[in-house]
Amino acid sequence: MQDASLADPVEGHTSKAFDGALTQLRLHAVAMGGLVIDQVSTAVRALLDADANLAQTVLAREPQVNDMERTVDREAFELIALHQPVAGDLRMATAVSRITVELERAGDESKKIARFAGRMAGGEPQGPVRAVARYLQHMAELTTGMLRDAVRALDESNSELAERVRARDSELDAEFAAALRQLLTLAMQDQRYLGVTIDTVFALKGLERIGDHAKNIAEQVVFIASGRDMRHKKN
Amino acid sequence: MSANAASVEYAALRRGLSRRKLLDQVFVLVGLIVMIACLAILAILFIDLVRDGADRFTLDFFTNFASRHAERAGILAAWVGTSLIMLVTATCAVPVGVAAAIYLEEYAPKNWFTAIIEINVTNLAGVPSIVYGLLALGLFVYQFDLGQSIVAAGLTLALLILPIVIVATRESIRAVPKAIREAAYGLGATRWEVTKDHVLPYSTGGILTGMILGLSRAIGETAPIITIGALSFIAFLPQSPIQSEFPFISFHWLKDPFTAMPIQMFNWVSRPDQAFQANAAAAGAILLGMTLVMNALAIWIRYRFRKKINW
Amino acid sequence: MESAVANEDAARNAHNSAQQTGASTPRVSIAVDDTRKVRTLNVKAAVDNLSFYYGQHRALKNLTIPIAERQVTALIGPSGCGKSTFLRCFNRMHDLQPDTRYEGSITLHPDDLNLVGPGVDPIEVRMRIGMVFQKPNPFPKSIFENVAYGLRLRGTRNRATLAEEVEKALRGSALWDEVKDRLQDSALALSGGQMQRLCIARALATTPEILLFDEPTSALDPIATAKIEELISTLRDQVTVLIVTHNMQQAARVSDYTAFMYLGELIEFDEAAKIFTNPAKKATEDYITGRYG
Repeated sequence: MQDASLADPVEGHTSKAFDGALTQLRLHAVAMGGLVIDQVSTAVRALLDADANLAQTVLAREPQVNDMERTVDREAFELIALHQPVAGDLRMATAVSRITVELERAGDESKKIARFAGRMAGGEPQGPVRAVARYLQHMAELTTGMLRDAVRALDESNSELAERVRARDSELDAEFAAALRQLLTLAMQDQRYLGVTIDTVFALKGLERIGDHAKNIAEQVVFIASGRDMRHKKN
Repeated sequence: MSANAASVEYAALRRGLSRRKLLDQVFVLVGLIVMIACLAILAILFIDLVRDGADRFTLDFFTNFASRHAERAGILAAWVGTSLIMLVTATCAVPVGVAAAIYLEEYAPKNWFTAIIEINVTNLAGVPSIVYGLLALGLFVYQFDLGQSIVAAGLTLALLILPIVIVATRESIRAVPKAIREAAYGLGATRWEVTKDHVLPYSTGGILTGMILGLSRAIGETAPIITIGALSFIAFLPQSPIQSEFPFISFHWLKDPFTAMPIQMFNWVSRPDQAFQANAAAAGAILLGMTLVMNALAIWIRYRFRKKINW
Repeated sequence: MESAVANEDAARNAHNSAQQTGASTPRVSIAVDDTRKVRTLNVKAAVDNLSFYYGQHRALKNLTIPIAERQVTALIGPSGCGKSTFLRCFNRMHDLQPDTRYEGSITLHPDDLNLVGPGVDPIEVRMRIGMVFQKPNPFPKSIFENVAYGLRLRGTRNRATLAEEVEKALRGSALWDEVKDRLQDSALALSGGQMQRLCIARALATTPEILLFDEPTSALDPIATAKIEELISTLRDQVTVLIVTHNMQQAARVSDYTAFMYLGELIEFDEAAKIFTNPAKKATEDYITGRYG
């Protein structure tokens, strides 16, 4: 960036309507992020505590997430059509469109986890679930943390925070691999729990995917701040 | 290889260029010579007059009446007469001319009748001044019974300069941009309000310029005022417009007999006595000086108004 | 199923439904697609089958549009489509030219005056409808006198009243702070953008019911343009705005409703958000995306 700047820069855009629309868009995206974070942590709680009610809450709120995706995406779309943003503003609008997709998919994953939790609930924690409970707990913490940080990075336009989120993805992948090995061992030892094992694998996979979505969101935040496209890059 | 060909081309370019610039400079030179020639002629004329009339540039010259003795003859009656005539001319020509111009520019519909009026206005400018004199003699002096007076002379010259005033006013009215008029109409002004509040005030510079140019032409017109009977030997002044008793303003001077500067000059030049040549020369110089001053005034007014209003 | 105001018929239906409501102020319902609710607005001026003739040439053909109160309606279209011609019907500027003729009506509410009616005095129309022109055209007078002229025409003489109204108008056009110390200076000393805001103040001083803008920023630089666009946005709360612009992006930024015209006809009229995201007519889409011509 150059050193020189306009002699008399104004606070925000000359067009207050444009300013308002941009702020509104960011707020709504962050609100959607908050909702999805809530969904994820509630779904995980439902799984770990075998709580059928919590699982139901998640399932009931799922349509809200879908509605928000449509609304926020439409807002971004109209902002581009009506205000012709360029540079940072355009990156923001485009990135928010992509972020809503990631958030919606994360919401979908949390729905699947909640369903699994619902099926598990009511009985004793099954063997496979017990065996990887530690991994589930840890992965859940990691994933929810990543998602929270990614949304916070969006809210604050914090590029460094976003970069850190990206870095944590490998840790999540390692946890997943370890949990998978544990389950494999268990499945080979005792074939009675095969069904539950497969479901548990899907639950773990779901958490891993949510982490991926958080990483993608973080990449979009970096894009907004610096214009660098970090997708599919190692670092 | 190509470098050589290129440099040959460039040389040709330069040769052509120098020749064209030479022609350019030749033209500038020719223009300069012609202009200097004209100025020189004017200057020589003026200096000649001034030299010939050098003895006569005294205060007495301005305050004496005509006399049989050249040394005592002055232009008092003449310049007072000229001034009063110019007053009448301006008072008559300007309102009529400006009103005619406004009508033609703002109000007249574009039909055959308007076209006829416009043609006639242009024709007026081409009528020989002696014909104005004849017209004035028949109409003003005899028909209207105004006599051989200042008012007749003033009216005659007003007719003469009317086309100048009309054309100058029309030009400056036309210079007022359509956008200004639209803005005024857009606010709900009537046509008269647009004319009164905008077109006329912004045209004032042009109108004044036209008036002064017309007067500087009229000041030297001899033929019409001779025809209507300016006297050449007057030893009295018209009655003063300002009176010391009620009603303080008199219009009697309008009907008084008169003389004017050109007449006085003509009279002196025609005399066999050589001494009067000096008088004529002095009067001529003064008349020329008055014309130059009026033109300078017109230019200065145009400059001042152009600073305020620049379309 | 989307229901949208997509063409003249729908606009006419909207207008007719406006006529049929028993309320004293006609309203128009403009339905939009499924993600937004129907909005009902007051109509400030109802254009009904308006045609305009220059001599024998028919420049406008059966236009029917509702102009919503206190909203910004934009007219877009290629050169020669008649948008400026249409705009100038609202304040009868065509009457300054010989041999012009109107058919149909523009009904101004609330007193139902037909702006183009044969018995209606153009001067009266111009006193109720204000106009801002393409090239800023302040009078070569002082800033104060420029703004006060319209008031003087209406007979206001009291100096205190004039001063108060002039200040109000200059505040309304976001110019007061820049000129409050030099109201007696010549208006021609202002910059282009300031001159245009002065012209807006001049039009606002007489509290017009509709303010017409004829390509108001095409002679201005981008910063001045942005300021004027922002000003128009704020004026929306006080006065109904009708703006002609050949800059489509400006129409997208500034207007609530947009009408696309071509060869003297109305092709499409709808909310700006609809026109610029998903217009109903191919002709509109072609023009907006730049495939026209």
